[in-house]
Amino acid sequence: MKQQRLNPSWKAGFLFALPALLFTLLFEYYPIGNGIYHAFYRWNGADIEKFVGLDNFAEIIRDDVFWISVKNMFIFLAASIVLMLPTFVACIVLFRLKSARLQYMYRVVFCVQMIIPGMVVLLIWKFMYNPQFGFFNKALDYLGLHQYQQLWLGDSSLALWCLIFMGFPWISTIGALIYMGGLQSIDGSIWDASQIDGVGPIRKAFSLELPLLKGQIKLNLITVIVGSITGYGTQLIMTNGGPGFSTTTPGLYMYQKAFGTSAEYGYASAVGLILFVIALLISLGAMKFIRSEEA
Amino acid sequence: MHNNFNQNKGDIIEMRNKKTRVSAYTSLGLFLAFAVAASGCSKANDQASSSSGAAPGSAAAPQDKTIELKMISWQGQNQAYWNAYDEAIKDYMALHPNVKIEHIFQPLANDGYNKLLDTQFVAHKAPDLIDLQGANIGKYTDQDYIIPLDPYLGQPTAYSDGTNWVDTFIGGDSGFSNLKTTNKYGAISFVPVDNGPGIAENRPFYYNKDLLAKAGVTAMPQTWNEFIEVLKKVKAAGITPIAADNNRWVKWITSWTSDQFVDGYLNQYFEDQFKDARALDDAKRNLAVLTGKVDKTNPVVNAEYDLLKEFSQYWQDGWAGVDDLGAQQLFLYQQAAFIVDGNWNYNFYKENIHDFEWGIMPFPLITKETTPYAAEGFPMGDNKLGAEGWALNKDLEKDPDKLKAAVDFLQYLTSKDAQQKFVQTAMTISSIVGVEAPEELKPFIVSDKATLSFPAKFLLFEGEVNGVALSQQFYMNKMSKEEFLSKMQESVMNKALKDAKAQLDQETGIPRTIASVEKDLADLKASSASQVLIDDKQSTLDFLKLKLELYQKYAGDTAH
Repeated sequence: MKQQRLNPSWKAGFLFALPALLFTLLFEYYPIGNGIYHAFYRWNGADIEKFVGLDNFAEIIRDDVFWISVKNMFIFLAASIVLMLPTFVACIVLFRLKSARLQYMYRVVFCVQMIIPGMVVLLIWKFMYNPQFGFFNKALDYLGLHQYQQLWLGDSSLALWCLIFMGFPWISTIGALIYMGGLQSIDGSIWDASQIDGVGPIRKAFSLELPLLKGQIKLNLITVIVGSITGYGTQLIMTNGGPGFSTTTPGLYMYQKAFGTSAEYGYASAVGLILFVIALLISLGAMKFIRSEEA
Repeated sequence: MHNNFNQNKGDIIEMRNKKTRVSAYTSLGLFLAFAVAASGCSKANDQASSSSGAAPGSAAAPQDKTIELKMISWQGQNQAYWNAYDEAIKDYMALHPNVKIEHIFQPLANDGYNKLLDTQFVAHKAPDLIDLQGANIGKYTDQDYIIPLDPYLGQPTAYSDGTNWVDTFIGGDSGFSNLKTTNKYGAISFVPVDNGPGIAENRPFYYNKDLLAKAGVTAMPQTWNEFIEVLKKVKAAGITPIAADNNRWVKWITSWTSDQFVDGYLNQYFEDQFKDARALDDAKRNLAVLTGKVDKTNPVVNAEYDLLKEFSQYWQDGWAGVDDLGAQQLFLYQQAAFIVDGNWNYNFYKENIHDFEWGIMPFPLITKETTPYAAEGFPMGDNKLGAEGWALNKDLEKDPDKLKAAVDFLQYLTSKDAQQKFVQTAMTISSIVGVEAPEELKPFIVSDKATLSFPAKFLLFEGEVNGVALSQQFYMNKMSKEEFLSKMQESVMNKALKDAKAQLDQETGIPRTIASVEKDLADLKASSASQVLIDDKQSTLDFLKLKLELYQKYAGDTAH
């Protein structure tokens, strides 16, 4: 009897969710499927579309530039994972601050950078790296250290590290908000108990805060992994992959192949598919490695 | 006018500010773009044939029918150009009250212009008249998104006093021959409204008079040797000689120096029947490398890169990390003595330079003093990198009246009277015979030395991704010449092989295009279309057959 009464609303619920489901399928899953489909085609995005089997993949494997870009991608990925640490440490320190006012002030400082458009940040850094009139070389000159002046983005052995250095001091706003939210949701009795037990600050970080924030760390880690593997915005704006191929990543290479004048959409789709698989595998590995309470 | 490479600082920053942070999921987002494009793909396939039977000619659309045309350009970021178009549009609408023209501005920054068109074409929502530049003209012609204009160009217009439209352009038909190499039909699919065929093949150098005086330079160089001497003096005075950038500059300078090497060089490698077909020049360049006729040991290739390598020591330190905007800043901040730029930026420099004297110098002539392979001339006809002009959306063929109005407007815009007014407002150079250029812009015009029909050009340069990146490494001494040339050869070879396979493919290559053109021709004949159309279609067919023969002869074995 009870079930019969629930049934109509259950159906209505599905009916309301249906548009969202359809649009998700159309705009999320269909494009992915279509991209996978075209990875096996020679396709110029318009009138030429021919099935070529695994030719695109074979060509990618033989392509030196692709492998250079993969190497660069792993350096960016490793750096991004290591550079998650400052945000994490800053959040723990901030949470332990007794003064609510100070906490509030730091939170504002962490978050205020969020309102600056990413593109502006990139362009400011680009300007700072300029060898002739940028901030770094001018500052070195002012300090009498002109012998340490560099070509920064113009030096192929330095450009990649310049891009990694860019977010200094690497406090991620979203990451900080996630960690702070996580820390605030933990039952206060745990901290009281640790104080009674006389747990030191380092031990507290490793034995309490780190395990209790596993869920948040996992979320952040997946975002960082996927971002590093598939992202190329920074490289596109800052260096366009150069000098040489020193900052080229597979994502950027995909973009250049698809939207260059040769319009190799099929090849680019195949690069996209490879990236998708790499991101998926590494993310799954990471999820397995860090088992959160929820898992 | 080729502002794609030259947006002023404010516009770029404004555009970039508007862009949201490129998300971590951009890659997956691309799948979406691909899919959207794919959904339009089948439609494009259905329509993949060359121009239909719409009658060419100069007749305007019926006066009693209201026609609305949309035109898109990036000229909003250059006020003088925008004003010049505004005037021309107003004048035209006054003459033809039934035609309403809307001019849409889309900035070029971060490739926004081209990406918008890419998606609009797929969705068949692109504007009727489209300002296009460089390789995109060939790309959209190949994709059957824009109309080959040869039938119209081969006839007089309402404004040309009986002269065929094409002959109103400086250099006439032969001026367009380089551009014809960029599409599968060997067709002209745009008309220039300024610059264009026969003029301004080489960008001039803007120079800082104060810095040159400081370096003791008293006379401006005419030849490449004299130019290098000046650069040496400037460098010795502790001044950076050239403001370079990491992309545009590399392509430009590769093109404009190699454009002055041995005339007719490639002809020696091909049979006579392919000799005079300039529209096959690109194909011959690829095939020469593919068949091993031109390789890394080629003396002209070596001479071209030796010249550039020597020249690169005069570019600013760290140029490979600087874009064209950064190079402009360097020149404006008096940190470099020379910069290459186009006449479209004349007003930009005029408005922004206040604290030093400056001038414009034509691109130096490479003489035999520099290299025995110098042709001692500039190429006739337009340079592909410099090509820019208006194309017509192929969807216009569905509405013949609208198509007529669009063609008529382009014919008006390129008429002598309209052009005389246009160049004075826009501060540019007309591509139309008899239109006087503004005095300040005369150094931009190469005239008596434009004598080369088939200059060697860059024989070993892959213009997509690898060419620029490898050049950067070579010029910065991160790669030896041997390694550089080997990698460049490999890269060009791969590209040439891919090209040959694509051209010879029965389903997607030249054979398919021939079948499509043959069908069009049969339809035209069956519908008793005008002889001009039939002749034009026939010449397209002849060209395609010649092109197919070339590929079969020189790549038939390799590509299979």
